[in-house]
Amino acid sequence: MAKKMVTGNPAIWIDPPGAAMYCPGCQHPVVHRVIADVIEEMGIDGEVICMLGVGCHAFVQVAWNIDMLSCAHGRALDSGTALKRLKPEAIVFTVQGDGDCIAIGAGAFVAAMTRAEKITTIMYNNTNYGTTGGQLAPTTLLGQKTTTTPRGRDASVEGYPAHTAELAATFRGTVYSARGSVHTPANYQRTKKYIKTAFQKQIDGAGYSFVEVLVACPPNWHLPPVECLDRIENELIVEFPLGEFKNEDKII
Amino acid sequence: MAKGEIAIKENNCRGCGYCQRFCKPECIVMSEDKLSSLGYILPVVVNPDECTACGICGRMCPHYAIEVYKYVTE
Repeated sequence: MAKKMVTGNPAIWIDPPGAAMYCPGCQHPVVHRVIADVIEEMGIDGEVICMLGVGCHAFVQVAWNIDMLSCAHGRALDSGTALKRLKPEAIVFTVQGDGDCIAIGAGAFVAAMTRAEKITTIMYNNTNYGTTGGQLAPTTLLGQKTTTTPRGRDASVEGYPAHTAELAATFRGTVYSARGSVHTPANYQRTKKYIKTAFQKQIDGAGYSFVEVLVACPPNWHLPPVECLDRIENELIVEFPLGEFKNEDKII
Repeated sequence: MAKGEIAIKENNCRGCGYCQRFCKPECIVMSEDKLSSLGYILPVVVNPDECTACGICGRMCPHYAIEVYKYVTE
């Protein structure tokens, strides 16, 4: 009997030594797979150019067989703006973490939305700075213990979590803003739909599109991987509700 | 009757246990004593006949350690 592969490596994934270098239970590669599946299904692997920020997500630079540029920390959208203006037919998307996008790159992020750049941003939100050892990020939940907030985030000292997808939705230049997660198979499919819609908005020339994805970070949350999925369900989604916050066909 | 089969790439596996959590027919469970060369607990396929080849274990695997094949008649 013949066999057909249902799940394997994505088509744009080249298997370098150490490709699976992420920590046990880290969900960054799951989102990489979602993006790779969308690129494969839309047949745009020759047209996309990926702008990487700095963070755990950027390890994908050795594994994706598409055009990519590793940018300065937080400046992926600035480099993406230059590239999109020089090469308007290219489909430019940035892959950024929560620290890269809304902390260090907050200025670049807000400026890109103000200018209504026709770029797509996919932001991975794991509520801390994973690469450097789990420090406080703007998205850290209240009470969450990190290496820089050992007693938990205190609103009177460190403030409140930043809601990036909601912020993006308030800008006129943004035509699409959504937040997904990959902690269940159903949410995996929904996130795939969000990312596909975001790419389609850029192909249609509508405006800036943004997708935030909640991911687990077991080493820095100090939880076993499977319990991280429960934390996403019970704590993260309460603070960061999932869904589409803006979906327009053109800038209004 | 199995509708497909699961292949586990043991060198990629980091033993997170997501495959066990998401396998509805309970085909995959984490073993208690089988370790990979890096020392991670490996999953094992215990009920291969129940596999529906849905591919969810492979899709949710963060380390691309699972390949799922579906039987097709030509």
